[in-house]
Amino acid sequence: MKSRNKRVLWLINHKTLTEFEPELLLDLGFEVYIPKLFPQTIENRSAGVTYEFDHNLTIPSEVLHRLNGFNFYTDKITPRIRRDMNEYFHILFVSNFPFMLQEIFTHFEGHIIFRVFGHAQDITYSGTLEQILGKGFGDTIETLGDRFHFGIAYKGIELIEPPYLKNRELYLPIGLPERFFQRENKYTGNDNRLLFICPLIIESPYYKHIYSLFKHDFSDIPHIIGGWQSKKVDDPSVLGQIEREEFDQLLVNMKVMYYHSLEPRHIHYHPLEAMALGMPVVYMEDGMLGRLKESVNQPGSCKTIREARKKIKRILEGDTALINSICTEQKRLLKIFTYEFCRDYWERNIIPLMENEIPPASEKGQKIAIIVPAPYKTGSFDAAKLHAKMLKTLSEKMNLKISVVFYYLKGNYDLNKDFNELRENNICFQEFEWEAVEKKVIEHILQIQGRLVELQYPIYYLPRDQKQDLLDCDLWIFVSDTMMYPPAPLRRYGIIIHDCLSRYFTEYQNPDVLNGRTNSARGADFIFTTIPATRDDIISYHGISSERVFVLPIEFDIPPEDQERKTENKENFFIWPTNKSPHKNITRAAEALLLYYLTGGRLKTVITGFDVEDLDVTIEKDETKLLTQVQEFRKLVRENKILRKNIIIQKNLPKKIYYELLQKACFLWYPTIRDNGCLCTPEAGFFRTPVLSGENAQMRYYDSFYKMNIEFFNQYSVDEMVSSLHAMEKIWEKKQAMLPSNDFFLSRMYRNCYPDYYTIVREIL
Amino acid sequence: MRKDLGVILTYPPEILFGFHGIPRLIMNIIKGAHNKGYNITIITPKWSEKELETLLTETLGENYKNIDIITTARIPPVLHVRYYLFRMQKSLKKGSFLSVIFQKVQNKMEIVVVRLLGSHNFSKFFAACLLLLFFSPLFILYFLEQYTLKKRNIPGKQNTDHGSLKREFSDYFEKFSDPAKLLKLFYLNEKIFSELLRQENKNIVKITEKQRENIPYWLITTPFWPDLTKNIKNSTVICPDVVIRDFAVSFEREDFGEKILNRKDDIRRTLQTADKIICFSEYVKNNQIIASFGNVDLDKKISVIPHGHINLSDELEIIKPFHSMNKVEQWDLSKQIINTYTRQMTSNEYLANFDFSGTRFLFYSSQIRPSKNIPALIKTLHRLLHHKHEPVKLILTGSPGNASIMKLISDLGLQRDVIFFSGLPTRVMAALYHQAILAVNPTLFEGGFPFTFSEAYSVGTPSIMSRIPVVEEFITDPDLQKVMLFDPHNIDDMVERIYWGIHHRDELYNLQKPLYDRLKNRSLAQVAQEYIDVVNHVD
Repeated sequence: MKSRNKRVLWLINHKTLTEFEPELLLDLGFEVYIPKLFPQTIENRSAGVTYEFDHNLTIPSEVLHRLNGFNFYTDKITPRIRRDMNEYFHILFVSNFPFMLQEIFTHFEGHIIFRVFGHAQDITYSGTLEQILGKGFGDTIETLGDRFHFGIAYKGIELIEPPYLKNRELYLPIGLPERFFQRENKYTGNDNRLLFICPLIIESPYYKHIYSLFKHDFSDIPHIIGGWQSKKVDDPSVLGQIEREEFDQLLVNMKVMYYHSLEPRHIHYHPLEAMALGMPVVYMEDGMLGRLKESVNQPGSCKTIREARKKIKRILEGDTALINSICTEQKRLLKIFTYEFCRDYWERNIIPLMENEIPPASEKGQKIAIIVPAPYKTGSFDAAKLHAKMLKTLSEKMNLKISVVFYYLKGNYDLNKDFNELRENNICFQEFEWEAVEKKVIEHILQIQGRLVELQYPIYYLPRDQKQDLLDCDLWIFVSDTMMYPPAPLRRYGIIIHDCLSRYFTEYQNPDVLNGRTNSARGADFIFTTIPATRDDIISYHGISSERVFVLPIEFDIPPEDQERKTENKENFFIWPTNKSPHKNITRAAEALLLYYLTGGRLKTVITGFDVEDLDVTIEKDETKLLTQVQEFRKLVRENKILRKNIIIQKNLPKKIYYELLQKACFLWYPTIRDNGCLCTPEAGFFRTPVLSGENAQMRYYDSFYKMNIEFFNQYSVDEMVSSLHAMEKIWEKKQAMLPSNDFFLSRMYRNCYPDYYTIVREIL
Repeated sequence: MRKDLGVILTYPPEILFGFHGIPRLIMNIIKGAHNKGYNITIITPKWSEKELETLLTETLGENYKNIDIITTARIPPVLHVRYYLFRMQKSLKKGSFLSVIFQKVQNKMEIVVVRLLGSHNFSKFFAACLLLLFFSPLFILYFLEQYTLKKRNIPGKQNTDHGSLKREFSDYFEKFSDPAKLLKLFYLNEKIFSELLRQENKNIVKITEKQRENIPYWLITTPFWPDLTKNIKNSTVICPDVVIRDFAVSFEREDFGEKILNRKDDIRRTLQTADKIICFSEYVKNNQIIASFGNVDLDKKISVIPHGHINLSDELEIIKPFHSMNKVEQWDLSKQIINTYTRQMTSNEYLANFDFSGTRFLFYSSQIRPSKNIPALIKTLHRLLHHKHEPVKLILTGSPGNASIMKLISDLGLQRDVIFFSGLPTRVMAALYHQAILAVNPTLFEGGFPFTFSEAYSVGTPSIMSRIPVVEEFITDPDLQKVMLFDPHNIDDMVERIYWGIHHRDELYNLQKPLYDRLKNRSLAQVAQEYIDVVNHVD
């Protein structure tokens, strides 16, 4: 049996329960983890935190630390917490917290014990949870199959539930902590008043009603009312907030306790505590306490309020015979709350679960869809192919049980040319389309699947491939966040986001597009990016937990066949890889180039890139249709012969030719304001070409990661751009000599970074 | 001996709700006086009653019942109409009542009709046909309702009914059902407001006369109502500042327009007719009040009472004291409070689902006023993001109504990075202070040492603030001044100081401890006693 099987996540923080059930589990040979954070609301006034059980846990300290910093009640389960739960724990106890239940159902792969203590009146767990979580609650339980257990504390709770709960009943009787029994017969009854417990009189309508009934029936009998009050009650008999020690003293001193409950499926702790201490308790026969088989012939049990009043009055008048008989007989009631009684049942019902092996999903093997969500031809399309190949590499070299399918959005692709790399790597590729659907469609599909996921948006994108519509895949990874609507959460999904330019450029702030990106990112289980500064932007711009965003190695890769150096000779130019987007800073760059040449600049500029054709003034264009910055660039070049003479435009070169050009360039110029950094940087380094770049956090990271000694300048200042160009003209050879070796660059190429990639991917699988 | 404090709180409707500035100060004085055993009576217009109760409950908890609130007799009818229209507008925004009713009727109808239509029995089939006929007007209404009050466009789907009769009808229906348009008829412009307040102040004077036997002295909390100071004997008025004088251009252009002169005249007459005046700093006394309206009498009746210490950690005590929790628990509690609050902002998709746990932000709790220097802070944020590569946000607590500020935010593309949380409950404000990387106060002018410092420090967050006279009156240590103060006119300086503060948060917090300890010694009870001594003419 694996050590994991002996570990229990006991996600319950009730103080009195904590004194009993975790101890019992320890006794049965389990290790127990109890959360350290819970919602600080008055509803959780009985909750507490203990570190006592952490010492027995044989899990790595960083895992324990992570679990202790996680709020299971309020936070969505993050990839690392999911891994910790599934790698180290086999059984999980969860009580009636709908959000937490939903998260546990989605992420935990072991046995789930839904620990229940009974509702008031005829309210059912199924009813309330279906109301909160949706009709799919039952379907989800059924999908969980034998892994789900309805852990009833009292027999009978299951009787009013539907079959999906009733059939999964697991009786785990509730017990009283040992300390209650240790104070047996401490009762003195010196205070000749009735004790009644009723918390939250002001806030809770339920307890307010009970308080009113009590006052109606017993106001003439001297009494005091205990129970936690967060607000002052205008009644001198209500004690309000008292410490535990004071409460214990009340149980010792007060003459008698009245327990009002008529609930057929729930008992409070306090009458049992009083009984254990030896205090006489007068209670109602119709309540659960009166329905226990041990309640037969109990003198404290009453059919009517009149009977209860009569008995209480007799006790207050000092009827020793009645007091003694109640105290003696009520001990029988406590038998089913003793440690010995409970242990027997727990052992019988829990130990088989420990032995019942459930292999984690990661061991079964997973099918991963790498999806290009927009009709990209380069950029994200190339990156997606790289990730697909990387995952394939991991399955082969790291023995990861995964298979990969490549999905691309239906578009104008050359099936022979564009997918060759995938064919060569035996990666299946398929076309899909988006269908925008309303939320209710997704609700229906989720219910059919038996999955519970909170749907927050009115419209979702549904991927359609006319086959299984990607449901045959276990995990979806979108390479790019360019989606008008969030993908339907029919599968756990992640997104690879390469930049967060919309934060910095008003040109990219179309609210509809932005909302689509943000909502997609928020629905993702994880987000991969490649630069720490971009990660920080994603977290604070999209409002995402930092625990969901992971930094992967930079996607720098040069195929082996292109790695050969063709020349050692530099020629009289520098290379400027760019495109016409606003963040590329082309207007300011053109102004800088003009000044550079006017002030004696000697090196020519070779501009290259995917869509730089528009910058070429020798090609006639309808200027009005061009972007503003392109118009400005063309105007400057057209009006200045010196620029026309010195700027050479090489549009969209094949990679091989581009690499040859890169080798010949004295340096690479990168005046971009900000993006995710320039992949051409390490490529340049590999081909012994130094880099002159505008300063931003992303390029600083490139510099430190590739140790390139990049020369930086202020890309917001034309003057500084000019002076740095002049300076670089003089120092590029020195900078070239400072570049790391080719082996260094090789070691940091994507294809060789698979162990780093593996470390991160392991977290999310 | 009976100890009494009488307070007159006169604000236009819906102003108290923001719980900024002076209302917050008054609540703290009341808290201090209550703790010292004073009987407190507050007179306020009827329209402020609920807001006042909310503020008192937030300040005193259940003890708020110990405060006597006397209101004027009734809310003026024009306000009733305004409230009614607001409510109607809100309920229609939420999702119309009609749509729920029609949905239910339609569902029931569907079940019955489908059963009958599917029947093999001819009479049942005809019954179904009759039913359909009978209910057809309902269908028509439902149809109308579907296309009028609900959102008409489903994103991604083409709207194809342009120009149709159906569309025209629905447009008409929509116009009729838009209370915003009706609301304009009842828009309370300045003139109506002035008249409302003038009449209300008369009623308040009458109430003070009736109470004269018990309460001979009154504290008036704002310096804008000469009708009160003129007609109420033994009145003391709080004059936080005469800031309109220093920011005359902005106030004229952005806040008051032509009414600015009336405002100045109101202040002058209020100060002249009051028996005593309280302000919060020597600077305001000498450089604003006396410099603006000065004469010998005025000088004699002004008392300077600096602010007391505000401890927000009490707001973060729900089950156990905030300072008894470890750092993880404190952070988690603040996160829970903020998330619970933002989830209710259903009309703001961006904030409603925002997870603040990993987001670093600067926090400035203030109203939006020309003197608050908010444009400079926004420009500073832009520089921090673009030039210092600091991915921080800015959270403000004022209302996002100022057109020039909104334009600046839009021009700089900061719509998502400058967040307005207006009308924040104090508990949420305390949680935001706790989670802020820094509390920043760029103000160009304050009447007293800004509350923001101790509010932030009391929940574990250091401050960076403006180097202005009232601040320098308090922070006299030149080394501390150097690290935590910036020139609010110099954005370079603001950027550098805030950047330094972000990267030296713990160091800054430790350096500010002696300052906080000094402020902490000035308790609310002590400040309240000083107010009472002035108000009750104890020499």
